[in-house]
Formats: sequence, C-alpha cells, structure tokens
Amino acid sequence: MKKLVPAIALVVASFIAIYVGAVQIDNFWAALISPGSNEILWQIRIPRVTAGLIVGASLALAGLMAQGACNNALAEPSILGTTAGASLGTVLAVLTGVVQVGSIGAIVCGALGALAATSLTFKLASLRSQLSSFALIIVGIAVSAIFTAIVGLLSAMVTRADARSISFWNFGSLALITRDNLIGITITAIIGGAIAWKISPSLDRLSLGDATAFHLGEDVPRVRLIALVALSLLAGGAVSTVGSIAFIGLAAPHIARFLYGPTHRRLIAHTAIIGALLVVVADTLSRTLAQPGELPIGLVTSLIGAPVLIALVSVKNNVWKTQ
Amino acid sequence: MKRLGVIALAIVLTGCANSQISQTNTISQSDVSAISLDSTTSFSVSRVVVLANGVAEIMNSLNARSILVGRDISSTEKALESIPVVTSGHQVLSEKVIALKPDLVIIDASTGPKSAIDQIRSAGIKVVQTPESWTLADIARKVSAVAQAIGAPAQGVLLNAAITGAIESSQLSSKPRIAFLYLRGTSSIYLIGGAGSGADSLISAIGGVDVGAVSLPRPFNAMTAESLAALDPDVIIVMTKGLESVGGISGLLKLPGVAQTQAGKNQAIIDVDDSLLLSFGPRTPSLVVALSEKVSAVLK
Repeated sequence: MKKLVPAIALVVASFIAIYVGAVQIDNFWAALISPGSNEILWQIRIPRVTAGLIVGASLALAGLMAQGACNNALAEPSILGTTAGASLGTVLAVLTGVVQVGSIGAIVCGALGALAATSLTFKLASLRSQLSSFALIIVGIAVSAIFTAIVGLLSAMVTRADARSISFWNFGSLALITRDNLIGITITAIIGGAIAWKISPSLDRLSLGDATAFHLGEDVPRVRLIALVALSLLAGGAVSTVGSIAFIGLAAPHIARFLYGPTHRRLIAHTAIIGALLVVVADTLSRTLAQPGELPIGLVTSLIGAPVLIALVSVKNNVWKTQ
Repeated sequence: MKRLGVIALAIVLTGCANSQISQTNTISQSDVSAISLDSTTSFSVSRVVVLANGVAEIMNSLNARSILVGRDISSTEKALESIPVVTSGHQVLSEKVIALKPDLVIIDASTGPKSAIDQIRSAGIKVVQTPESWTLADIARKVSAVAQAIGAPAQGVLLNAAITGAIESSQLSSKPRIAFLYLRGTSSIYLIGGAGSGADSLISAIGGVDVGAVSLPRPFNAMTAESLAALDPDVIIVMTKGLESVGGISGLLKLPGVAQTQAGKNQAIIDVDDSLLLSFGPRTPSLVVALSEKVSAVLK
C-alpha cells in the first residue's frame, strides 16, 4: 500500500490541477471527455499540467542520476552546474538565432550545455587529486555561479523576449508552455529514463565506493559518464523548456530513498512519481495563490521541498550511508 | 577572438531581424495630428520650461511655442524637436533648467526628483504644478491649467472647445470587446488595463467595451493566459514598443492565452505609439478617429 501512496496522490493532484485555475471551466466533466472542446482546458491548462508532470519526473530522475553518479547525497543538477549549463546552452542557441525556446533544437543545445558544464565540474574537481565529494560540490557551486552569471549578463545586455528573462532562468515557469513544447521534453524524459533504468544496477555497486565497484567488475568512469549523459538529457530537456525549478532534483530522490530504500532500479519509478507530484502541486499553487497573477514556481517548490527535506533528515538520518 | 566577433555579430543581426514587426495595424505619431490654434495672444511669461508629461504639446497647440525654451523627454512631436531637453530619462536636471533662465517652470505630480524642483524654486524661479491627464475628461482641466499658468486663459477656452468638438464626432456602430495589454516582453504575465488605465476612456470614446475595465478594478492588473482567454476580447490594443518586446504579432500570438481569444484568431491586434496612446492632449481627438478606423478595419 505504501508503494501506491505517491502514485495515488499524483493522480488526485493532477485532477485538481486540471480542475482549478484562474477560470472556472463550464461543464468541466463534459469538457474533459471531449478533447479540444474547451480551449482554456485543452490548449492552456492540460498542456501545462502535462508539462509539469514530465518536467517534475525529469528533474527528479536527473537528481537521482547526479546523486548516484557522484555517490553523494548533496549532488543535484543545480549544484553540479548542470542546470546553469542547460540555461546557458539554450540562451546562446536562442540568441544566435539557431533555435527557439521549447523546440527540440533548444533541448539539444540545453542538453549539450548541461553536459559541458557538468563535465567541467568533474574535470576541475579531479585536477589535483582523486575526485572527492567535497571538491565536487565546491567546484560545482562555482561552475554554476559562473554559468548563471553569464546567462544573467546576456539577459541584461540583449533584451530579447524569445531569450526569456533572468527570472525565468532562475525560478522557472510553466506559464509559456504550449502543446508543441510537450514533444521534446517527452522524448528526453523517455530516453533519459531508459538510460537510468539500464545503469541502475551499476549505480548500486557505485554506491559501495569506486574501489569496491571496480572489484565487482564495474568500469567506474564509463558508468559515471553514462549517468552524466542521462542527467544532461533529463535536466537539459526540462531546463531549456521551463527554466530552473529548484529543489526537485534534491528533494524527490531523498524522499523516495526515505520511503523505499536505496536500490536504484526500484527508486526510478518512485522518484519520477514524487518529482512529478511536487511540480504539479507547486504549479497549481503558483497559479492559484495570487490570482489573476502568478507566483514563480521555483519559489513555491523551494517552500514545499525544503521543509519536507528537513523533516525527513530530522526523522531519519540514515538515508545515505556514510561516505 | 574572431569567433567571438562572429557570435556577437550573429546576435546583433538576429536581434535586428526579430525587431521587425508588421506595420499594418500600427498607429504611429505620423498617423495623427494635433489640434492647434492659429490665433495669437500675449502671455504673462516669456521663457517657460515644461517638465510635465504632455504639457509641451499643449503649449504648442496654444500657439505658445515661442515662449517654450526647455522641455522634458515625454514630448516627442516633430514640432518640438528643436526645443532643448532638460531631463535625463525622466529625471530633471536642475542645472540645465536654471541655465535656461526661465521665468516659469511647469511640473506635474510625477515630475522628479523633488530635490531638483526645490533647487529650481530656491533659484527664485516660479514653479506651477498642473494636473495630470489620464482620461479624455481630464484634457480640458489640464489645458485650462496650462493656459492659466502662462497667462492666456482665453486661448485655453478656445483650444478646449476645438478638442471637445473633435472627440464627439467619432463613434463605432457596433460595440466591439476590446482589451488593452501592457506587455513586458519576457514573461507571459502581462498587465491588462482595467478601470482607470486611460485606455478605458479611449475605448469608450470609440464606442467599444473595455473588457478589462468591466471586471478588473485596478488600472493595471497582472493577468495570466487563462484569464485573458476567458475575457476573450475581439480586439487587442498594445503599445508599439510593448509589441516589439514580445517579438511582434507572431510573438504575441505564441503567448498562451492570446491565440485562444477572438482577437488572436483574427489577428485583430492594434499597436499604438507608446508616447501617443495615453498622452491625453491635443492629439487625442485625432487618435480616437484613427483608433476607431483601425478597429473597424481589423474587425472586417
């Protein structure tokens, strides 16, 4: 039963998300069973909620891959530089006129930026010695700061609506989602999720430490690289389409671990469901609390995600084995 | 370095390409004309600096351009181009004002900074505050105040009569539902004009219904895709630079919510010069006529 709680909550939350909004939908149930009948429902609200589900699942799985690859409880796309890299990759591509935000081209550029920034973090963190968790986090924060600053500078210097605002890149927003944007993020979520599933057993062995994993027959650098590719695809897809939504990549895998233990393959579905749940709930709040305006979703996810995380840590401190 | 240059050039070029917008439904400054008096009169002052939004064009229409020696940045009419600007952005530069040796400075409630006004006063220069105009009904009050300040109240009466006469003669036969959107470019959260935005009085002057003013109490309201789609205007009015900031009509139509309105479906979007739309002065009667024509045209 415990297994099904998040999934049931997700279904309920999704229905509520589709039901509530700035506008009350007339004959809601009739409109819901005839696709396309109500424009507000089918062209604005449902695409947005669907995007929330996919983005939430993607960011959560990206967090799982980051933590698994680094064998570090703190690793998360925004700490490793992945998110900032995805933002910069997308902004550069948009400004040079190659792509538009939300397109598959933008996602490819976002994923490449994510991969470049994350690789840079790993490279710099292991320059002088073996890759240490501590160096990885410090260097990751620095790389994130640099990439975020460049995105900010570009946004300040080139005022272009299609390159989005610094607030979009820092706090994220699902407000600009249209149905066309769903294709790209669905593809990255499926490919990223499949890769994550495939390498899960290897990530379990990696959690025993690099040396033990090596003796168990794992090609550690290769596993790590594959996890980084999955991480970059998942984060790149989400971030290049809706900007950076805080805390999902950190909170969702931790909540899943707390509830279901550390085995990666089991964690994949649970983490994705919890991530989707967090984003859908946060987005519903962000578009209903300050009607007819909206709150940035990143602020809401921080307000929900952080206390949940603190509560979990204070209740049970053995979610992660000591490093 | 070379590669950086190429990237920079590409950014600039795409920026230029993007800022080109459809001109078909645009009302620019050259599409309207100001109502002006030919009659001359004497004034009680001889050197006037105006720092109040729209007052320079009223002075021009009162045929008092000869005593205007300095102006703020808000007056963008061609006839005023040669008059020196004494503000930086909207900030008054007191030294520039005092250097022009005016015997009257006209301000309004928005003129600032206050310290600059205090400096002008302490230099012994007379400062008069005239009311701001946010509706058609405010124009007469503002014109009278300006005419009074320069000692030509009779000119004010004449100009007001001419403006009022011109406004009354342009009404649409149908009652189209119109929304005024204030666009800020990079987010899909736009401001929609409500009661008191200024645009509401223009919309009622042409015989339309301001859908924002009907349901929204504040002059400007943050709005989302769903709320705009629900208001479902037949016509959307925006400012030209605002439209440019979202990437023109095609960019506006991509914002969720806009494409779902009748205005979006029929591309019934009118953009009006930023400094003209809410100027409420001698150009407003001509703007009302132009707006009424554009609304009829986009609804066809």
